[in-house]
Amino acid sequence: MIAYPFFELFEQCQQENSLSIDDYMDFLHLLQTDRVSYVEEKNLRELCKLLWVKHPKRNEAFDRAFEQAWKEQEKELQASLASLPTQREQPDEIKPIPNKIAENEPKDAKDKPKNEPAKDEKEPEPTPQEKPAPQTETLYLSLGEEEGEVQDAEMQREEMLESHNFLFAKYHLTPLQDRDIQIQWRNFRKIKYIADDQEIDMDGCIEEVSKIGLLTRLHYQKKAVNEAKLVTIIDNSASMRAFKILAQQIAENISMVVQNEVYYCDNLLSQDFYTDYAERGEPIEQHEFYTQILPKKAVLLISDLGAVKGQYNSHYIEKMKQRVAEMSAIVPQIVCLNPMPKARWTNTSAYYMPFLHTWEASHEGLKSIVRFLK
Amino acid sequence: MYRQHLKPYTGKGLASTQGKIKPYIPSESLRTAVELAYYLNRPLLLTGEPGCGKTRLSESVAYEWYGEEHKKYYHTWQIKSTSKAKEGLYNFDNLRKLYDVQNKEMKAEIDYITLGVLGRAFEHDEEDKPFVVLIDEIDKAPIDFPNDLLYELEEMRFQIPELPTDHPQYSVSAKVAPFIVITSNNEKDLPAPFLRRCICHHIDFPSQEKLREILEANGYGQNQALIEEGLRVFAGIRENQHMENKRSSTSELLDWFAFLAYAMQEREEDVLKTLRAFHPKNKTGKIPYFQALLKTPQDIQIFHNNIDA
Repeated sequence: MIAYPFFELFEQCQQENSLSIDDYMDFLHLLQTDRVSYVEEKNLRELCKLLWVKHPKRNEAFDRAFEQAWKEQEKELQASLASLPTQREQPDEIKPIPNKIAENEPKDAKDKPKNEPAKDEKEPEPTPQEKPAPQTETLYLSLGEEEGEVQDAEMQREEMLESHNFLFAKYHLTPLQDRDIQIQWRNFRKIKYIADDQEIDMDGCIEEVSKIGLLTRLHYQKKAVNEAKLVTIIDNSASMRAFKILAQQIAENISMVVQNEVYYCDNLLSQDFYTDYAERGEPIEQHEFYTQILPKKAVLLISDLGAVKGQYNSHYIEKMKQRVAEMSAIVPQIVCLNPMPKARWTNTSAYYMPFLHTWEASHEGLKSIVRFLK
Repeated sequence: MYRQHLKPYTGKGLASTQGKIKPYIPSESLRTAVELAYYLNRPLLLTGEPGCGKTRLSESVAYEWYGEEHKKYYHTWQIKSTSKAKEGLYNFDNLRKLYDVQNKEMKAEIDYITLGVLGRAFEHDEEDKPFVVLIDEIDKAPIDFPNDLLYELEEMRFQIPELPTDHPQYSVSAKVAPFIVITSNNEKDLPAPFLRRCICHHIDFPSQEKLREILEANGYGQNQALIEEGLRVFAGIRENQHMENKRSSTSELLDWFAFLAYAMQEREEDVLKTLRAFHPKNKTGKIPYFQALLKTPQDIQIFHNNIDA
């Protein structure tokens, strides 16, 4: 019998939709009400979706994941759901939930006393039926410079994406979620007060009247606008191909919340820049790029900086130093996001570039970058 | 806190409202979403194509619950790009205060305060008759707007800092929690903490069967030939419209049918003949009164052979 129906499904949704423990508690509570027969697949699917899916674009992926969860555990689930006590019988009889839900709970979630599980209670041993089929697999991609190997690796990835019922297929294998990226970059603001677009400062007017008894003139306050602008340059070299999806996901999501222009280059030392990854089209030459596109904008580089190859290349470091110096003369800030985990930078070129502020592509990395750019 | 009782929403009984409100035919999943949001005491966030009926749902809920009196219990807050969260709770009339100060007629602070839509809903105290509040098009608001409402929507109370802390109205708590419906066109993504507190439902475009039901509820049931041909043409148009652009919606279908029904009074055969002659696959024939359905330059481009420019 399953103690916590659809718990694994909830966990998957929890990460993508920033759910809290309350959302699972609501689910359990509703199962205990005897108003609707939630033993039926359709009703259960609808209930879970309403409670746990917060964006319509995730509906389809959720349906696939639900179907999978239902198929795997149908009999046990039906037995469990049928045996759940109804609210009338045992209103407060809700078993504690494994502590890992609470660990995953977003920080903004408020603590509520209702039905919170006691942390010191022992987690029940899962039976073999409770253990879900693994949802993720570790990818071991071939990352060589040879074009054939790169293509093979890309095909391998595409096949995996197609053949698995990943809950959030498009970016499932990336370490960041859309919302995560957007939330961090929403904080990228440079508020400028525009003098010629003024608003009446009511508080200022009232203050003057209350101080001296009359209003000598209307007080104005300057209007605030966000002037933060970003240029994202994605390194499109062979070693970055494995991170193509991640880099595009990051750029795409940043563009949703701030003014961001995305460019691609064959490598960070390249003289040409492109606006379209697939089509390429006419390149923008370095001089034009530097004089017309970069000025007054912050620059975000997305590159492994040589960490994928695991090599140290002093010539590359020297050239990068020059490139960063050139850009720094034009732009106020330049930062780099490295999709390789930081632990893998050691003894590679990426590790020896103190002149370039670099963070790894993680939640904390994004947070630090935005904080740095502000 | 969960509500003590469930207020069922069936969507039935709205098919014939004798013109008091337009008929509204909700899907089963939408009905469930309404009941769930009500029972769990959470705002219901509706998304979907423009014209799919997001805004009208709340009125239909109010009508089903309160019938003839529904306007008394139904309040809307139309969000604009300049809206601030505080406006929905209360307004402090600075100008009035300024004027009074100048005329040495200063009143108590409470006299400069008027409650907003949510503020009034919180003050309402009829047991089992909660206000239905529509917060329409929240994605039009500035980026911080939804976050500024988190506390108020979750705790169902707010404070008025312009008043002294010991004033009885300094803290306003909902006597009867309102049922809140929020709509969004997804022009901006809403923050995760806000979404977490809502029951989210995406209104899918209705099936042909559902569209037929909607048309019949709107009084076109007597002319099945018109429904048959009109829906066929409409489906053909939608199939040809680009997914990423605006596609003809249910509300536009109803507008179009109003045109068609009017024209049918005088020349029924002409209208039906024109409709029958339109073939969406090879794009032959004309679309009568296309202006009600085709609104973008892309649409005009796609159907340039099927319209009388």
